[in-house]
Amino acid sequence: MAETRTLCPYCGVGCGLLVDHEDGRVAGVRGDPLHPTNRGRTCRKPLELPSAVHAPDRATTPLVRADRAGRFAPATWDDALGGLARRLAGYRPGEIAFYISGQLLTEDYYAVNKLAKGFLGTNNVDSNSRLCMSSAVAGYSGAFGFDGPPPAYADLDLADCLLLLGTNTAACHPIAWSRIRDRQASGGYVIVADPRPTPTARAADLHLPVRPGTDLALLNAMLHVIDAEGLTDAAFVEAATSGFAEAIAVAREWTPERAAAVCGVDAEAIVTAATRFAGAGAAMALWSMGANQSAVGTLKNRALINLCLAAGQIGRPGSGPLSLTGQPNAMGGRETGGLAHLLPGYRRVDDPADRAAMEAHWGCPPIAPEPGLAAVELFDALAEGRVKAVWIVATNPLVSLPDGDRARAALERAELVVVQDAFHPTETSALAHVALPAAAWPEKTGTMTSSERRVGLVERAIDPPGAARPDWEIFAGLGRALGHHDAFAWPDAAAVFDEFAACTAGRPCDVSGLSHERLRTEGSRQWPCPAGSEGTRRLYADRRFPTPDRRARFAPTPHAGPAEAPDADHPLLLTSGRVAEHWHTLTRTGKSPALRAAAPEPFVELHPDDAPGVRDGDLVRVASRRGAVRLRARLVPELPRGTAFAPFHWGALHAPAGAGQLNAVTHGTVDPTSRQPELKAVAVRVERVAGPVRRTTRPRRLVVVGTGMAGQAVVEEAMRRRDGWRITMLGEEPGPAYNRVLVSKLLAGTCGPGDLVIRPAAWFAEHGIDLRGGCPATSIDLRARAVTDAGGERHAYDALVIATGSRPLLPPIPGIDAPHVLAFRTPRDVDALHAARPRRAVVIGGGLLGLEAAAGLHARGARVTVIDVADRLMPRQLDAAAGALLRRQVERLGLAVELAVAPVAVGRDGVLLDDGRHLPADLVVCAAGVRPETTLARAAGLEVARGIVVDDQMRTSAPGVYAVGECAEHRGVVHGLWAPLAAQARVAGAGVAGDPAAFTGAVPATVLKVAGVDVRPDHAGLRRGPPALRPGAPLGAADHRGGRRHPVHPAGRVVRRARRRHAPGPLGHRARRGRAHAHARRRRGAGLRHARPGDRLAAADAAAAGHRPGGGAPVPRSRGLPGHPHGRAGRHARGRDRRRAARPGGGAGRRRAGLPGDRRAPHGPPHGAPARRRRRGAAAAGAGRARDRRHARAPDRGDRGPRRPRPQAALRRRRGAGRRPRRRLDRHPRRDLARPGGRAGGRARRRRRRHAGHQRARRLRGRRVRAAPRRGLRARGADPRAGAGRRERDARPRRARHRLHRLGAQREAEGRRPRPRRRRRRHRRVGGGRHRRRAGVYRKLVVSGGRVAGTILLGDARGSAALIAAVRSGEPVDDPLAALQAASKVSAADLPAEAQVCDCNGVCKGAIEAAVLEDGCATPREVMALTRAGTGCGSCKPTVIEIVADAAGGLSDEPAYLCPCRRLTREDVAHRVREDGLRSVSEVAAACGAGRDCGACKPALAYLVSEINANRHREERDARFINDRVHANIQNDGTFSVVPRMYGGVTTPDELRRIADVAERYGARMVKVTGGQRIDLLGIRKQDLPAVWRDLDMPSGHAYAKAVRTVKTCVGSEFCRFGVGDSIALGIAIERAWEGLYTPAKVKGGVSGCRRNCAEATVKDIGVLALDGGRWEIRIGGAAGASVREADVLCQVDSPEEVIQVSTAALQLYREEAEYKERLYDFVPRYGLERLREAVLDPQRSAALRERFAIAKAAVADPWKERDEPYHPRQFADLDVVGPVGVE
Amino acid sequence: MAATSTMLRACHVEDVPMGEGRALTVGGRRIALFRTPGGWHALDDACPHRGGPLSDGIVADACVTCPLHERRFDLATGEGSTPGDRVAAHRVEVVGDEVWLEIAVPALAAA
Repeated sequence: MAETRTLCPYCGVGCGLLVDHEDGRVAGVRGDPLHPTNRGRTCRKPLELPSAVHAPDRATTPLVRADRAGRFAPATWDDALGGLARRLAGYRPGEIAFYISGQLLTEDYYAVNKLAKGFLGTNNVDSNSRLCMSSAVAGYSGAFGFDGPPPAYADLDLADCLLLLGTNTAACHPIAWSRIRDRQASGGYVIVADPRPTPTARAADLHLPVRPGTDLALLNAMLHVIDAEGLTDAAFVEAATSGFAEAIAVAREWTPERAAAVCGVDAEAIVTAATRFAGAGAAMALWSMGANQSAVGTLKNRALINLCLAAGQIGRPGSGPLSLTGQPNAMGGRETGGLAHLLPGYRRVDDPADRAAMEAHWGCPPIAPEPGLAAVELFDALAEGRVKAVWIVATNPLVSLPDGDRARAALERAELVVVQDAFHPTETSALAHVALPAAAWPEKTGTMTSSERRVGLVERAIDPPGAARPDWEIFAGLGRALGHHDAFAWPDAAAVFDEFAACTAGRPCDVSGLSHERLRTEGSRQWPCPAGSEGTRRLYADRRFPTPDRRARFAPTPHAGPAEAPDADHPLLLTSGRVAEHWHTLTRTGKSPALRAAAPEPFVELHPDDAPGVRDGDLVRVASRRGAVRLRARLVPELPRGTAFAPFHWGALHAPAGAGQLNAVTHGTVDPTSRQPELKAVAVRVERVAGPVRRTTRPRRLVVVGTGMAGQAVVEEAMRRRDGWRITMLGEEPGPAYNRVLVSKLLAGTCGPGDLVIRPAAWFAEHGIDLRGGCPATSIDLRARAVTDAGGERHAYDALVIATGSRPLLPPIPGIDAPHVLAFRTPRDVDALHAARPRRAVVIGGGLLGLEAAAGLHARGARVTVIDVADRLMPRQLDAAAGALLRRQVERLGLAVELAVAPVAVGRDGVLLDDGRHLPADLVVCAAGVRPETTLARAAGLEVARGIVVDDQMRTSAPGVYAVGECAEHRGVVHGLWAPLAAQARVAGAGVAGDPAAFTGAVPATVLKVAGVDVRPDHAGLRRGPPALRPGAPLGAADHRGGRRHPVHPAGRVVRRARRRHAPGPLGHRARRGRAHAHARRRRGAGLRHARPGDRLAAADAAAAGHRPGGGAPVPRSRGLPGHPHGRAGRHARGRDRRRAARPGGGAGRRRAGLPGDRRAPHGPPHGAPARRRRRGAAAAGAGRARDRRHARAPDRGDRGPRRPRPQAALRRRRGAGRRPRRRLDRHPRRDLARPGGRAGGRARRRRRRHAGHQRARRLRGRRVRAAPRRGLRARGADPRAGAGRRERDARPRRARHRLHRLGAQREAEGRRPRPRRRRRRHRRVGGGRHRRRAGVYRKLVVSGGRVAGTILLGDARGSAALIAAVRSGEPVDDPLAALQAASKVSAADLPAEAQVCDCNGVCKGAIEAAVLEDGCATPREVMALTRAGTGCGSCKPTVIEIVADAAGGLSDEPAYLCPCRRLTREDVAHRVREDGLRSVSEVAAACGAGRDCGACKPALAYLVSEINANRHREERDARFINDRVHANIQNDGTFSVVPRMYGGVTTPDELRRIADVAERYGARMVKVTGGQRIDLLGIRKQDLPAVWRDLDMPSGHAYAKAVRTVKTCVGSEFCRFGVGDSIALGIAIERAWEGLYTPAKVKGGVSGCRRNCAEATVKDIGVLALDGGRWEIRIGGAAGASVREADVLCQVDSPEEVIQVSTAALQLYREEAEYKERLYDFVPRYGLERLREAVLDPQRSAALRERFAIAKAAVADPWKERDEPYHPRQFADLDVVGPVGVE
Repeated sequence: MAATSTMLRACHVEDVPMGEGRALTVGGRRIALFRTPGGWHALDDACPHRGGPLSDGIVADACVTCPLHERRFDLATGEGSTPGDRVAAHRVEVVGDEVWLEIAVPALAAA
């Protein structure tokens, strides 16, 4: 870890920072304790800089395009700058402008000024400092003759009185504020003039709540008071100033009373402020934007300086006027001439001598004598076409300039827009023709000057990403491209500074005594600092000023109101500003999850009286005469009436969709002197409206080809962002989009077709969308911008979105087109699968889709075999060990799995495999993968590789045409999972709406939706396509000789270029790669964040891209680039070889914590001599391979990689061609060859060894391409950050390593130590049925470069949300095992607000919390309905529930509300019921309102009332569930099931006869034996229920009720030869004792006659086991449902009678104490077993419980008696049908 | 509102207990009729989710909860608590002891 001393890049305070960095990444930022300004302190913003520096949207390569609607193409610097030089040469100088930034370093500023003013001949160089401090420049210059803040921060510590005007110092300059607070604590008096009760104002000793735009009235009155009170320093005024008389003449017009009336501050307060200020021994005036951003900003500055001059508060310690600049180097900009009227060294453009000096210094042609255009005027000139080319640097004017829509229009008019920034896209760069990547802090060296004239050195700590360059270098490059080689030949930033410093000699801002070297060694210095000087703390100590007469000048400052006065239409005055968490337009702070979470969205503060009808948190529209913005209202009663405040930070990129931006409402009126716009006073009105704020002037025509989820999501996003669309959707499928994520559930029958509906058909009509299902587009005319559909109709478009998705990939084998071969993609496929009713089915493809299809078919009763050519299930997501575990779990579900086999033909009765076997099947499902559907795009002439090639904005190669979804290829990856596709759709939706947005890849995380199997790999999951790399995560190799690591993106073009340039020799190769992969590094910066050792694709890609073990020979490239669509060889490699290339563990250079639940992980170096290893390394193989041989060779057929399906003939040919002999699988049908790491018998081992030899030979021939991580691993082992585990593993003998590993597994599996391998294998051989391991748990964390890169969770997915968040953020991890363990304990509360919880719908934790806290949702269901979280695949539901519980104040901790509407707990209501003697639900409702609002609690109330009244309550059926109204269980079709009681599961022939008769008579659709040993008659109609009961003549089984259901028994001692107790008799007795009593939730009992437990009593709510010697064991709280819990032992007793006593007492306690719907297995742990024991074993308490039980029981009647005496005449019947009687 | 509608005599007031719903079939279409302290309401008797019989649901002041999966619908408007969920609502009028139901003709035709 290295440490670099540098400066903070945020505000003008100029704090020193220490940057910790390692391997090219910033690890942390701290305050510099040695820096004089902050002395180690920092505010929050710089601490979050690492997330900005390493953000995925860093600009990394020059991008060029001809047309704004078109797609950017990457370019080299030479091409980009050469092209720009040529284009600039075509403009007149005045037509060119530069708009630069206070973020630039002094060197950058100097370079651009030299280039533009010296050599391009244009003075149109202005900075965003114009919006920030140009009024201060004008104020200082006017008063003192030159612009330099006189005091220093040290004066803050010495001032007795501090007057702060228009500055929220606490939020905007926190460190300066901390010094002010320190001074205040030691006696300084702080006065704050601000309209708002800002944190600064609240802390002040005196707050002057001045109305916006009336500061001058206040300041004049203060001067008036100073003069009137005789506090003027007459001697100083007389000796050192001029113009006092004129100034005081104006001030005398402003009595405190008059000022009070205008500015709203009490006259008394004005007097206090003035006397305090002038009477103090030392006083300072401080200000920032509140004074500067005004149409009279210069006058406000002069008025503040007037006060200081009048009171003589200048030049002395602790005194003077100090403008707090907003930007870090606004001062450096002024010094270098960074404003349109300046030249370096505070020289002026309009001064001939100054020009001559600079011409001489630069050796340039004559400098133009006219000042250039200032910021706002510059954009006006653009709008009018006077300026045609604009070069924007490090700023985002489309968000920051006033009157944003006008600024946007201006930029749209420009002929050439160049945006040079560290990030892309920004709101501004989205309109660029050329986007140039700039280095950001801390990637460049240079100087900055803080508000106190302190020059400090900013140091480069890490390299810029990709091709990004420091800004000065870019300008120097442009200068050279323009032919000025000598003038722009600086070798480094220090040389630039030296040239600049030389021209300041003798100037007021003299820095000629400074150099980078001096600043580095001696620290920062305040100018003037000529040679030999130590710098100057305070100016004007001699009270002589650099004016011609050496006197400071007073200025008269007449008051004028704001430029835009409020009126009836716009009654409020809005003032804009900032929040503490954010900086400018969020390009950096918006990257920090913490900062975003702290200030997530734009808002407006309003006085409640100014916004009638608006509630806190409502969305409101704030409209001015120019535009509108949608903001969330915050009501602030302390705000002065008539004043509103809103921060300006959020532009289209960061604001919620359709919100607009604040600067749409502000206006461009500027101060006549400083040209600074008035951003602080805008007349607005507030309206209560939602909906997007931007309306189009004419409708935009959007055509979407494809009606799937992606296309639908684009449409919805576009509609969220603006109105006025004319949308046409053309699609092949008949209806609107449906939720495809749920198709597998549809197949399994766990959801219905209705669940798939995203938007009902009516929605499309309502929103005017022309949805044409079944009418696909047939052609696109890119030139005419029109689409033709199948009906021949043409649809013209402004924007076209192609979302054609994919089509199933069918292996080219005979019979694949037979009618009984089905795909599994759409609901129609599901219908077909249902209709087929197969008995035996084969599913081709063991991936996600195939497994879900198989599980669905299995659920429908088919015998299913899954086959896959790969050696494991879910081969793209899982490594070998996880795959093997999954296989076992899948097999346990009842599915058959055949791996490493390919189908060669499909026949009528089955599938023929390549090993000669025939799998019988009457249905074949092909889920072997999908292909992007690109036919239409290809025919139209769009660039298509594997998918339609798109950029980060999802633009295709044609202007106005976007592609999203499975048909699009982004950065070489075709995404297939919904989460990234949804993100793509949001980006495209923003794009077509004209808003900037970028898709920078995604962490693919997926969940297998098969019941009983829990798999969450979150690093792979790509259906197709190679995964990319995350920053700093080299796949193939680590350059461990101290250099940077060079991860390589597998994307095509660049890599191919690298290949062409490839020259032999490792160093040469690496060096070239470094350059040629500039593009790839850009991707690294923005890359996808996943990769893992088990990822075959990744490893193959890395291998193909040239990674290899350090020092090894270059990787043979004969196989080309796998996965790359263009790569010729890649196409071949994509098949067999790529699969082979990457084996489990084949990913190079990874540290892993593999934790297989039941076997060792493929780990550690193999037994192999180093020499041999090197040899293999030379053949592009490596550690992974040797590891493979030992562990993973087993998986496939004798370690030959899986194959592509191919006809037998071809196989034979291959064999004949001299390849190694192929083992026939069918000779060993029993062997589980797919089991990785498993060791088969001796024969197989020998065979494998033999094959390994073959393979080695093949590798040496270079046929196999494989990553070679060995050296990388070792290097990492020596890496100090590498976990101890790795070092130990590497150092110890193999056996020890395995022990260690197993230990890890054991730790993770929480004590479930795996059986020894050998024994397990025996079990397997015995064949399938004896997997007695309790947990098939596999948890693996992939760590790369010390950061979390991926994870596989199988069987135990706890902590998946936290782990996925860690993968997304690339969280550093020291101890992977500990991290995994910690993750299993992590709760949703630990997730950051930005963590995405629902991947399907892209919902973050913050949104869920907001739904609870702001929208008032009380239940997870409401939250899900509002946010859509959890409504996709549903896998995140538990997390959502947890977050809701958390946000709602801990639903789980606090007593659960029985009635959430009234916030009444069970205890609350019970108390009421007991106290008031309430006997019915309606009485409860009358007493406390429970049960009224939503009805959800009515059944709970009904139970409570009945329980407390011991069943002597007044029954009200409307409070009961339908089941309890008709005493039968409602089924999904509205019919009912009837279960008669059979005590202890014992019945008689007579009962069976009656049941059979009833079943026939009433048409029961099914007669079924239940799990509780009873008979269920299903499909009984409601009206038949009374007759059914009558004919059955048996008691109700209460199978529908929350009551005692059944007591299951075994045959016990009566018949069973093992039985030791009469379980039947006891079971019947218990059931009779409890029958008919309602309980909080259902209660199931069981009695087992011996320890063999055939009645499963140990998983019953209450279970009894017979023990030897006539004793009985009572157990309580078992569960075998959704969760499985072994019942706790309550006690052991000696007789059946005691069993009944104890268990009855326990049951009654449960009835009295449990929450409604709380099962016993939840109640027992909550209540506490000990406590429960005490209650039921205490004789007295037990007796009392049993007595209450008996009373309640006595009032119970069999509900089925209602057959004769119904509760209501129409209890069971429909109403009579009456025909229509008339038409009106 | 449809141009024409049909008035039906649905039942006697006593046929539906307070706070409950009952189903009836009109022209093949299932209608759920609810009696609440606040008045009578009628909705189509099929939850748009899985076709659950709303007439069997629990009624609270202004809404009914589907017995199958607990989706809630406003009795007056048929608006569901899940966005996009909606069932048709019909006008109910009590004339003396008789409950009359007005069902739009297109709704009948659609059935």
